[in-house]
Amino acid sequence: MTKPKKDVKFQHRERRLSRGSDSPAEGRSTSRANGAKSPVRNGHPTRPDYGRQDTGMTEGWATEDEKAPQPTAQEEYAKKKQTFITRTIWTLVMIAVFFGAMFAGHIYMIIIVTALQIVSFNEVIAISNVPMRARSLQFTKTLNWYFLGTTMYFLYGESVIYYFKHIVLIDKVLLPFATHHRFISFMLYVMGFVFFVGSLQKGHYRFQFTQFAWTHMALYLIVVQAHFIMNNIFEGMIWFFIPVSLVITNDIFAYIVGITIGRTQLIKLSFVGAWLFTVLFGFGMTNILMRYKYFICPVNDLGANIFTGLECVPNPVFIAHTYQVPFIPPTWTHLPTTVQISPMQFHIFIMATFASLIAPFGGFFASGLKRTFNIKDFGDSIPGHGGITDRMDCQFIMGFFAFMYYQSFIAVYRASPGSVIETAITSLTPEEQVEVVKLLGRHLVNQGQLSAKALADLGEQFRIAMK
Amino acid sequence: MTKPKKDVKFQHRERRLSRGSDSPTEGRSTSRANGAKSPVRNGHPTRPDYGRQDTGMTEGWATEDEKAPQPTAQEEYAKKKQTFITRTIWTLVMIAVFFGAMFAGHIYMIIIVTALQIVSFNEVIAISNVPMRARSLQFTKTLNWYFLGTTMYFLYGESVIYYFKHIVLIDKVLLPFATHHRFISFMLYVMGFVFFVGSLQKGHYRFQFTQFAWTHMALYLIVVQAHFIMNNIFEGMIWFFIPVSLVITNDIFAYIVGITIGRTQLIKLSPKKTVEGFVGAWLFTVLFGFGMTNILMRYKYFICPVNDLGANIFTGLECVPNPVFIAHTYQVPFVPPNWTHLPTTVQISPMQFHIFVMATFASLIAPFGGFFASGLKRTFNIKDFGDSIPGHGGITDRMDCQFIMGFFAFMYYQSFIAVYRASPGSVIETAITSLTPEEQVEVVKLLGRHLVNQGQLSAKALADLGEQFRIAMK
Repeated sequence: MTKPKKDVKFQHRERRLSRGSDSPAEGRSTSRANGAKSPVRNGHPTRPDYGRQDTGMTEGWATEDEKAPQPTAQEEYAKKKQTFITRTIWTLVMIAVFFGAMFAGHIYMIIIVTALQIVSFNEVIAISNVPMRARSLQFTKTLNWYFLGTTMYFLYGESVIYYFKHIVLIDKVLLPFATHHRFISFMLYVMGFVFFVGSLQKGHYRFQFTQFAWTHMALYLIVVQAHFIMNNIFEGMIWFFIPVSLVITNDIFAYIVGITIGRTQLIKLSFVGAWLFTVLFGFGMTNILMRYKYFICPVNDLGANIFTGLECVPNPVFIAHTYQVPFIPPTWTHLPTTVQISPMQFHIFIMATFASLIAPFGGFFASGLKRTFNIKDFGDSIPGHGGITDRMDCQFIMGFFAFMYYQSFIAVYRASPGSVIETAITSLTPEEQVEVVKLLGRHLVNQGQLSAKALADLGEQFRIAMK
Repeated sequence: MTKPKKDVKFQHRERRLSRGSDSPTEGRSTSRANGAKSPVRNGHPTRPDYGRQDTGMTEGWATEDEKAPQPTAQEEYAKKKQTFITRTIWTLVMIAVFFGAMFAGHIYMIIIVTALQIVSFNEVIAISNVPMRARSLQFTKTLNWYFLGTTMYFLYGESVIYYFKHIVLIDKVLLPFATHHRFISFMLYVMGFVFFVGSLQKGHYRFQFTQFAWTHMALYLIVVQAHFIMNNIFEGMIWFFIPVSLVITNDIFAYIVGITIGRTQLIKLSPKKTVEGFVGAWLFTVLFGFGMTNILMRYKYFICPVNDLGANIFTGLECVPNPVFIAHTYQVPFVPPNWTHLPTTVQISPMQFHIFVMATFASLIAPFGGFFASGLKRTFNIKDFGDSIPGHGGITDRMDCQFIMGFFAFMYYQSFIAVYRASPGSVIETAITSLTPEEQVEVVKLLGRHLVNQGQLSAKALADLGEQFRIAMK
């Protein structure tokens, strides 16, 4: 994954030259190519240079290494056309994979998010691996992987324990791993820390400490935030899809508006224009998706897909409430005094606003990082688009926000059988747990919810199984 | 807080020279001065050079800048004596403040931990402020303070909400701050992030990004870990005092044992540490842990969680003691022959085992926090993180092993010791009020299966239970 820096710069500058002249055509082509659905991987050439007019070859970048001979007009045109085709193809591939996974089921989306965070982590780590110190590099790479593994074990474990309590707390083998999960993760991390300190070599301190800090920053900015994005998937596909699509939409519209307005005083309006369009898109897309339980239900069945659907009690935010209009309209206007809207409309507005005004700063942050290291892209995982991190840099902070916002304002803390069982197992002595089973069983029999016979049969089944 | 690097090196090397010749006497003096109680701020001259024989002036450090004229023997002796006196005085001051706060009440200890983490954060940040870029420095400093403030707001809020639910969830004004605490903290952080990106200046990118990463690392290594140390105080003074004193004891005994019988080098990073000192310290730390804990365990002021922030050692605290402090009867794992007259059961409190684990961590793992800090100092070619404590260096120099130990103590406590008090009644209440009948049935089935798996409930008993219901319902 580590590339000699010169090649990276040169290759990408060439790509960028091609991209530059094609960008207006690209943007419009991809928009047209996708018809009604907005492209989810945009054809935006260089983020965040909104509204940049194509000024040809000379750019503001670091101008080293003019080693390539000036290509002829014919060659240049052919190269640009090739790049344009590559970009379009891969944009469509990404869109297809994204929607395919979304319809195939939550588990596939989770797999994709996992893969993306690992690749992104690798790309970011690779940047800092220059200068390569051959002797210490091997162990440093191993340590990076180890910290990544430990962090993912901790975060995934937290998610699994939280969303699948009713499985992990019952199983005899998994139970200790669940109840002592944080301690186990902590000890794994401490082992990595001890190994790091033990591996410090005289003369390499600065490199090793820089690697240590870089790894931690990458884990925090990528892996931790990806964890929150994954939790969004667990809460309901809509809580994952809407933030992701809002960011992409904002990218596209900012580019289009910027191209349209041009490099004039109105350049700042590209922000406002993109914001408006993003809000409108948000309203439209959400109101469509809201009608389908597959999108709004939390994952209680990992095998579900768009054909089998999901069943649940919808979250109250999706249900229309009656609100009093804050002013009294005169009778002659025949305006209603109450409106019926679902609170979701308000939440969409907030999310779209964050996606337009705040999330782009994630992209600016990544751009600043790239300028610090004098690179054009984080990697080249996606031909024509750069690396995964280049595509994902705004998504992380948006996903993090979506999760925090959901947990704070939307989530309804209903107890679940899993949470009640968890409390019983972790907080009660075994004798007290037996008492719970007896008393609750008696309550249910009294209520007619559980026939005494069913309870007896249950015990009988256990007795037979235990023989 | 930023000192020109040359002065720092020179000053401390001189101090270190003085310290070097005095170290054997210092250790013994402070031990004698404090009588029965082990000194809690040790008279240890240079951390982490355990077991270093005094070899006079020449040391293994970076040998630059021999600019100072060789002081005369008379001046040198006077300087050493002065340094020794300063160190001893400040050791006693630290001990007095520590014990004073501990007896005065939990709230004072919390104040001290807060102050220490802020000073430590500043010291660590100051190291990376070289080279100073005057233009961007002011805003960077503001941003560092802002991130520190945001992180402390988040962490302190979490603690307050967790330990004082009965206050914050009732109060009308505090309630929204409590229920939306994480979101508010997150938005505060995002604002800082946005300001950081907005403040990026061409030509200063590397400096600003390095500052950003450095701030986050310092927050994580210092402030977050200090938060866990504070939670230990909330759980009971003993859960704070024992880890802290174990680390300090380990320091002292490693030095003493190393001086006495030290021979084999332990780690290249700290060339003066010895394996003998390491292992010997472990033994003594375990013994100290057993002794100290068994004394403190008898007083409810130390073992009770803070339910009254105004309590001090004279007013005491009241609570139901945690089960770990209560002696249980354990079966001896082997059967001793009759003639030895050994008992077949022993009565010990589980705390003894936990003390052993904690002492072992303090001796074998926590010192790596100190090695980490040493490595950091070598990277930046400095001798100490600061000079907050005359004769001892900076706060971070004293605290570097404490952070990881406190973090471990918290995680260990939460995992193995903490009792999450619920009652069968509260669990049933939650089930009845918050679950549908079908879900309640699921609870009975799954919990029943769990108990059968754990051998707590015989399948027959469950069947009998059902049978009883059936008969009663007729």
